[in-house]
Amino acid sequence: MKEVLECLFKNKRGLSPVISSLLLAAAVIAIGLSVVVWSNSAFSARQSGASAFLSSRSESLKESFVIEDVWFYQGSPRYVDVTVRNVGTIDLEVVAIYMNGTTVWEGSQVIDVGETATIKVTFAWQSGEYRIVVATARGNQVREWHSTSG
Amino acid sequence: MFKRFAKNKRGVSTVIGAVFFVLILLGGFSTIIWEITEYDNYVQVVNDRGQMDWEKQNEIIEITSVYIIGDSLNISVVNNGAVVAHLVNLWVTEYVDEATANWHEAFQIDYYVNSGSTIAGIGLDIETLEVDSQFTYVVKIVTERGNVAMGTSEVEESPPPSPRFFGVFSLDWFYFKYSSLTHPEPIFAGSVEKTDDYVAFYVKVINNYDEAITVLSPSLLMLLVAWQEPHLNLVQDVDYGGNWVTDWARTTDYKHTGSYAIEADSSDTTLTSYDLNTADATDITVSFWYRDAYIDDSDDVYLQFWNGLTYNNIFELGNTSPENTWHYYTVTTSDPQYFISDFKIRIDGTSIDWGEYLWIDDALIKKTTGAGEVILLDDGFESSMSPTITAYNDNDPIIVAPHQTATLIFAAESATGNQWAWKTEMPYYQAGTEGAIVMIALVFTMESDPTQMYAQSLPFEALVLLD
Repeated sequence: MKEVLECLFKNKRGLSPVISSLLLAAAVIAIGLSVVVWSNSAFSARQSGASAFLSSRSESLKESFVIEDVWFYQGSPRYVDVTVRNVGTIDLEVVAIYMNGTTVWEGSQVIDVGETATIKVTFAWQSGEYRIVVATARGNQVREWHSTSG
Repeated sequence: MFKRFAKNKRGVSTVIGAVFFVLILLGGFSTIIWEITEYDNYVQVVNDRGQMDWEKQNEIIEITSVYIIGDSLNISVVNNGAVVAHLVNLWVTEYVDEATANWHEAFQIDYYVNSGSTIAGIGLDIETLEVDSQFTYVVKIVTERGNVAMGTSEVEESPPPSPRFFGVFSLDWFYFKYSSLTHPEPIFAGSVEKTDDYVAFYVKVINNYDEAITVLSPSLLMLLVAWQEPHLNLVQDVDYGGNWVTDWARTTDYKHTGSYAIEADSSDTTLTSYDLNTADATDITVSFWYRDAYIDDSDDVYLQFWNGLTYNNIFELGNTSPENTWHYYTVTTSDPQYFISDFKIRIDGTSIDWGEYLWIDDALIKKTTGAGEVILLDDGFESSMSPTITAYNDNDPIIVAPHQTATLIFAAESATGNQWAWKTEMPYYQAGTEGAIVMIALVFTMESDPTQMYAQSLPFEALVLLD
């Protein structure tokens, strides 16, 4: 250290270039780090967004189901059995059933690939036709008209 | 270090900047590569979904008939689509009237229907499904892909019903007996046998009526393409349990065990087994019980073995002593001429005269291979595909009991030696094969009204190949 100080005091000409070099290097490092951090963050955000989008779309595409059967039961109270078959390649979760635009069932019914599930919907149905919509957690829907006369 | 700074003032920042630049570049590239990979995966999912949707759209099934037979449903389904359909669920609803349902239930099924083909008998094997002919049943069949076909039951009409093959009869061709050629798609299962002087088609008929039907000898096979005069006439050989071709009769008069034996008299010819594959055998054993009555010792009633070219006499059956009692015969051969893919045995009863009889029972044919003993045929003539067939000469009708099966054999004589008369009329010749589209027409009466004859041609054709 002593030698360095002696060098600085003896040779006054080299001081400014050194300081300027140090300042320049520091500036470059700071700016570079900022840019790298920013770019990584941007790439990561893009990947995350794209991943979520593609994953969501893929799962949605893999999901396929049909309303296999709807049966209107008389009695008190009246109810409807809605049988859903999973014909897709991924398990699905039925979250809501609507009849003529009214939410008649909300819940969670997971159906494995190739399997069926019958959901009992307590609903005071009247004779006629009903537009039945089955919705899944992934946002897919199947809509069908069914008559109470079978 | 300071000396170096002092000496070279340039470069450090450039190097540092370059490092950062490379880092940013790598991050960008990795993002691009990741996106490409992810997008490829997504495209694969899209393609899979497209394929799935295409298959679903091209799976077209239709319920052609729903009949109540006894307390069972007999459902027929045709696949009019382009893909194999897997039927997985059957929904049945019992209706008292149009508005009132007794019950509604699902039954698991497992049937595969090939494109273009029809499958019948769905529902017959479901033990828990019981129906009553006083009710109407709406059935719904669901495929694995989620497609649905619906139909309504019909009670078979009381006689005289309108003649129909589909739903009333099912008629199909079963195994392609003679030709080793692979037949084209239109033949689901064909059967043709050609010998030196005739060609025969084997047709299985199932009587789904609740009463017996009588198939009459005017039934015929004809060339569909040329609409020629009939060339093939019904002859009345009977296929007993899928083991034999014969015009001998099953009888309860004499039997060694069980209820039945098979009997030949002066009007009968041969009892021939179907082809038995003995190509891998090291020896073959044939055994059976036989009983002869009044057959002259000079008559040539022989057990014969087929060696691929001719029948060889093995044992004479007509000169036993004492007569009118059961004798056991067994023979084992290790003669390699009989180790062929179409080995068969035959009992030739053509020389049996009037007043002479021969009975056979409890026939057993087995072979020994490197893997051990294999039973090829074990038949006490107890079961029959056509138990009620009573006529065995060329002019008598064939009676098929309710819900029973009979095998009709249509045979054509060769008109010009080795050249089949109708063979030259075939419209298309393929390399190594010759074919004709033939069509069947059955003439029959119902038991309830024997005076009323019905005739109906089969509304589909079969391509028959000859070698």
